[in-house]
Amino acid sequence: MTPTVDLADVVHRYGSTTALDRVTLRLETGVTGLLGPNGAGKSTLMRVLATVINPDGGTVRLLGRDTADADQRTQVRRQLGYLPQELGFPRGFTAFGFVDYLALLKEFDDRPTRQAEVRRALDLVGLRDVATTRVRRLSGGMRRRLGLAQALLGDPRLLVLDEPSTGLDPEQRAVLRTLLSRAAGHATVVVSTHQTEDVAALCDRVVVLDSGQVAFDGSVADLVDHAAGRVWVAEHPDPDAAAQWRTGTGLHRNLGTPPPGAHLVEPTLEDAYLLLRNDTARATP
Amino acid sequence: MTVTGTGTPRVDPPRVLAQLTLVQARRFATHPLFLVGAVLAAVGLVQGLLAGPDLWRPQNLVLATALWLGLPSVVVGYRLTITEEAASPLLPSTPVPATSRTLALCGACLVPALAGALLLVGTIAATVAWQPSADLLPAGIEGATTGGSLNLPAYLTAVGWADAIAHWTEGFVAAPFGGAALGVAAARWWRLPGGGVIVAVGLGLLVLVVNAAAENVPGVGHTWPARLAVTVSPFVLWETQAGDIVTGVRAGSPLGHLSYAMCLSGLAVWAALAKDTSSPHRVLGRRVGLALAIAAALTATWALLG
Repeated sequence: MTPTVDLADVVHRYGSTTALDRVTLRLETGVTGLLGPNGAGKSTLMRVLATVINPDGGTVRLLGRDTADADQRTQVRRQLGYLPQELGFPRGFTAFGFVDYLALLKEFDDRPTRQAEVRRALDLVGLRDVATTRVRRLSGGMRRRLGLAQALLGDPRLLVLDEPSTGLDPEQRAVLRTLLSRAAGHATVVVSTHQTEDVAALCDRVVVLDSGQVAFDGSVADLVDHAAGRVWVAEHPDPDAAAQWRTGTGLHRNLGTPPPGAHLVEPTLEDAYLLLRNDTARATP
Repeated sequence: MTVTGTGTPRVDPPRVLAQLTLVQARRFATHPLFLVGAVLAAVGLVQGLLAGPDLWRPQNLVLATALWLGLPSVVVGYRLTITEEAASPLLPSTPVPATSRTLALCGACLVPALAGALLLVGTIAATVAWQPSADLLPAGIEGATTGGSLNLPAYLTAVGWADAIAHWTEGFVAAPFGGAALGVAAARWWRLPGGGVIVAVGLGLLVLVVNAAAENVPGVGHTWPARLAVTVSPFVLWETQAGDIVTGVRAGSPLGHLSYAMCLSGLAVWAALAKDTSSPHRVLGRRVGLALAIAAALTATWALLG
């Protein structure tokens, strides 16, 4: 079966900075979470997946098509939904007008069909009631959902979402998870996020980027296993811990070697991610 | 809640472009600055109509329309383009290319041209009703000088409908379209807060200074450099005035200058499109740009020599 996303040795540079360093990935139907610190290359990878930039090296095949070829790239874009990290909105548009405009840019040229599709997308993100409201009057969370609505237009086979849950309240995040998990039944969804709980709740696969390279690629369970036996709760912080913080119970959660009197606890995805980051940093000369 | 779409889009690029143009045209037509300019230009026409045939001066309306519709259109074109690019992180991921989006913006520049055309129709109708003679422009006014020191033919002296309508069309239609297209092109290449205002003021000053210098500096107005400067400026004031008194009419061809102004408008559209470096038609684009530049030079020569 042809993977939806097939990246081979993808390299991209901004001047002397290497944002992506020989990234190789094959993704199929389902939700993949992309984790990594700021500057790890996540947004650059998302832009490559969204065909916004052509990488400097390597090959990118999306939906079985080579994005280096202009015609094939256009074919990919017809089945692609993309939510960038920072999305501005043209002035003067209503919520409906903005999504309608994006629907036109996605070649919905039959007006009744387009408008039905726009209404469907607004329904999906719960913005039907503010369809006639100017975008500039919407809250940050509503604007984020509006961005998500345009990404969902046309029921794309590849959804590339860069930090979609930013600015959403818990209920809206739950709705987002429901939406994406349903979309993942027939589409490949790539979600870049800093929210490990979103990844744990939603993704069947997680990719960790660090300094432009893939530091981990596997299931969420595999990543959590990485932290098994390395997460401790103690009355005192461990200065040698990879990371430690005081929890709401007054106890200290320590990642790494056990401090005196500590109790071993089940790791979370966040613990595993932090430990992976720490291990990667130590391994880097 | 369902994630099942209502169908994949059909692909009909001309239809998509037409609908994108309608969206941008609606944005242009509802922009407050355009609306204010259009109202002021319309008020000028109404005032002229109310003043009656004795005080009917189509020339003044040409200038007023170029001012109220043309210059604000520069700002509106710039603003529409800049604000559309607010979504620039997203737009390149859509199947419609940047060239089509730019063409749609340039198509929206027809909105002020259409508004100007309506005023043009009113002006022609009033002139036909009130000045059906050949003296459509004030060349027939006693004491007016024509042709300049070079004694080249001053077509406005033997004015006919073609020249008169050409001049009016330039002010009423070409200037608003060209101004808006210039705004789009400037925004595609140069993003700056207030950039549209800077371009509009620069354009307005250029036209006024060149025309005023050629008109008012003693010994300069009819020299070749002055005439050349006036001719290549995007807009020409064909008559020279001292207060309300017409003192002269420039030599040259209004029809030639209308053609030149249209070439400049075409160059503005071309410049806006040339920003898209991903277009597969770049070689064709360079040829079109070269052809437009040559046409502009030829029509400027026509406008200069009549």
